[in-house]
Amino acid sequence: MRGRYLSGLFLAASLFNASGNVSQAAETIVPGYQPRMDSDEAGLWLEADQLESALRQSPQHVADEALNDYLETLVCGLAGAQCASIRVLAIETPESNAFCLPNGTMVVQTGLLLRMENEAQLAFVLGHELAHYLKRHSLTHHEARRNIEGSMHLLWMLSGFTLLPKLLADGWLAAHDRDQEREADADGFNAAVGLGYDPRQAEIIWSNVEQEESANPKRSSPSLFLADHPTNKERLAAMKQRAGELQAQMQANNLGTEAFRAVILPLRSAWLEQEINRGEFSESIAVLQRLIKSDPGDGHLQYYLGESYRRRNEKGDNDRALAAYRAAIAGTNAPVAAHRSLGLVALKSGQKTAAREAFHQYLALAPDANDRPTVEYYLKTIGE
Amino acid sequence: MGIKLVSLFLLCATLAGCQSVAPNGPRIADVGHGIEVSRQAAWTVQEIGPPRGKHQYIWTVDGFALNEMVFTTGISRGDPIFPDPQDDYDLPVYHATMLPDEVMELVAASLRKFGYQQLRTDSLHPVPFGTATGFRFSFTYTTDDGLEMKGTAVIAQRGGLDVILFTAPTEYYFDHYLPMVEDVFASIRVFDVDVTIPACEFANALSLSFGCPTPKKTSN
Amino acid sequence: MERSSATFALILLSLCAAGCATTAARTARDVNIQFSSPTKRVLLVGPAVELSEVTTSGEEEVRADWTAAAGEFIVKDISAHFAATQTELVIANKPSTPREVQLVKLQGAVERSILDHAYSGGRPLKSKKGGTFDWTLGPGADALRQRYGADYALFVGVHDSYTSTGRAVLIATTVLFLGVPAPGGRQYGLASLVDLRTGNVIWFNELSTRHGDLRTEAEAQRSVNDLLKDIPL
Repeated sequence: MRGRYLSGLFLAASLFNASGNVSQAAETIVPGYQPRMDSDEAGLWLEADQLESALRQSPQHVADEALNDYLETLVCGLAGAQCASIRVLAIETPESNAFCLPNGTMVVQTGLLLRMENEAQLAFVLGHELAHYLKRHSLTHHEARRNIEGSMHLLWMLSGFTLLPKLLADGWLAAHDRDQEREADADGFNAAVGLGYDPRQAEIIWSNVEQEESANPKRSSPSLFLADHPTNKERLAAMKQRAGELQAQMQANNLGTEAFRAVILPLRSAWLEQEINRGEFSESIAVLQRLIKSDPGDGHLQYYLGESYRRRNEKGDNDRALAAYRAAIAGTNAPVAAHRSLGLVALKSGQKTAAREAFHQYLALAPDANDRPTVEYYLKTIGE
Repeated sequence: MGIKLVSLFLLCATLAGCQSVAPNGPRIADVGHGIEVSRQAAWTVQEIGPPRGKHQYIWTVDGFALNEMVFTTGISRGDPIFPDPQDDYDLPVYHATMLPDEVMELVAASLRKFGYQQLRTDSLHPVPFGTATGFRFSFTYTTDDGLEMKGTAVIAQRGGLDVILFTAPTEYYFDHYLPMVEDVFASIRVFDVDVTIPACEFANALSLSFGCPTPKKTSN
Repeated sequence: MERSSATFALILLSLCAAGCATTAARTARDVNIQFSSPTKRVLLVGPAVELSEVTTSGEEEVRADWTAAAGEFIVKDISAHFAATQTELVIANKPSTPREVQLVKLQGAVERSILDHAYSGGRPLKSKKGGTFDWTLGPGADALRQRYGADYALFVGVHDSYTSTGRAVLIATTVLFLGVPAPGGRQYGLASLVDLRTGNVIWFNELSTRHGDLRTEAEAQRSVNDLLKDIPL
């Protein structure tokens, strides 16, 4: 067995060197760069091209012109000399994420746009993702993975398929990823601050993430060893420190709130519906409560808060839902459905009068509603 | 109704696949929980289950990606609508106190857990479900590949939840096969062991007495 | 027109694992090839081509150069096939409407169903008794006919993988130490011929083999011949 292991290790070492066509190009992307056709990088770009094409044809592609123009301008500013090689693509999915493909496509998910409070926060996130692209992290990660997995795979097979070599490989890769993430945090931060954005906004992003995640009692803490991102606490501390350093130096305090809200607010309702349809109601409640602080009279936000409570349906949620629907109706632009949902909650808690009133109000405001027969059915059950 | 039909039903149930007179004509299919529907020869049947004692039937004409009819009946309170054998989908569960809106949301939430994207429901309205009252709604979604799909579903709360749904691509398939689906829905016959007045099902569950008779104690 | 590699990959997942032999082509009943105008034109959708290298750990990595070369060979060979009967081959562009996008995606779903049900080892369907081959995209396919002026469309996808040096070493090693070789690469291809007037799939073929090398012109020619076996056009 030991003889096998040793010769296996020897082979592993030779495999480490034998794998892949490692790119010889500079560490940072320069304008007009094209990888050699036989390189790993060209393969990654081809896959990226195919993914970009699929996303553009997807029903989830957000075609809204104002949004696309806004994002292109923002990313262009952050990319500086690289502006011409970047394209932006917005996708309607509730995950709070953005990523830059190796071919220069910046994909922004609407879950992220929902959670950002202003342009500055968005700039820090997109700056971070741009940094990954500019430093070609996909490629170096890919090469690292290919190297380690080749040799580790052999060791794994020879050792009788035990888990430890695989875990070691995964842990090594995760550490490599964490280094990349720290680098992207730093580069992205510098890029955004360089454009005049308020450095204090970066840490607010992270404390909001922290707040949302801790609202969910079911969320398990990720393994630190296998985590490919530094923990929130670590990033928060890093951000605070950098912000403190820069505050003294620069006059950067641009938030870009007006421009951001002008583009985002008209599109938010659809994204809110997707958010609560995730089924993670405690997290949605945390996000909505934070958004409501900035827009206390927004009927849509209060409505979706009500929906989150109603569908979570834990102890006390019925009353919270009722309060939220009432706040929605008292605010501006409440969706007509707020009356209907109020009726549902009132019906479930045995409040016949309130339910009857709410259902009648719904039918009065939406006489052509395609679920009218159901509301009439509820009214019949209550007894008119 | 009465003794004659009940014994006919029992006789049928003991035979493997009740035949109608014409061999290529529609057959009577037992889909569980006392429900029978008419099934045309073109449908191929696959039976899943039982998860916790219940059955699920899936029918198709051309393959599940092109047309799929799902029957999952007699779902007990505390159970998810669809089987989750490895218990890793974290599926929401049925409660008898659910309003029809909430049952529709339960179906939608379950389908989302199985990866149905951008799922939206619409047009919830009461329909006959045999002699009981059910609710019908339509929905749309997209697959992981981005293929746009349409769906229609019928739900009934009869001391256990019944869900029948049909999905197919929006391009050609849904509209083309909808008449066959409507035939199935129209053919629903329900044999209840315990008869509860359907309009009062959830009212009773919520202990609201809106002129509804007090129910007998049922095992479910 | 592009076909999503993701869709194609999913189709591949439904193909049987190692040990699958090349299977027969399927043709619909009563196929009667007729063109609506003197200009005989066929639309080529795709080819969706992906050539990869199998790494040491068994993962596949796309090679841009191999993929580009294979794509060129395949288009050239398919053109030549149709040219023999004075039929013009037109290559589809990116979809110009959402409906075109959906038609291509629907074709993917139809292919998946064909693989699941039309071959032995799959689940037979009552609506296709006696081996009837009867699948369609529906009359919406006419949108493609209107755009390109073609009466028929050929949908083609090919995926091929080749062992890397590291993988070859691993295979040799595992044979030495474990007595069992780790799997190498294989070639998969799918092709369907659709009558764009009805949307009906009139011919379908699945190719699955360990041999063949699409990186060279001569070998690519052989693979295309295999792929277009028994095509009625």
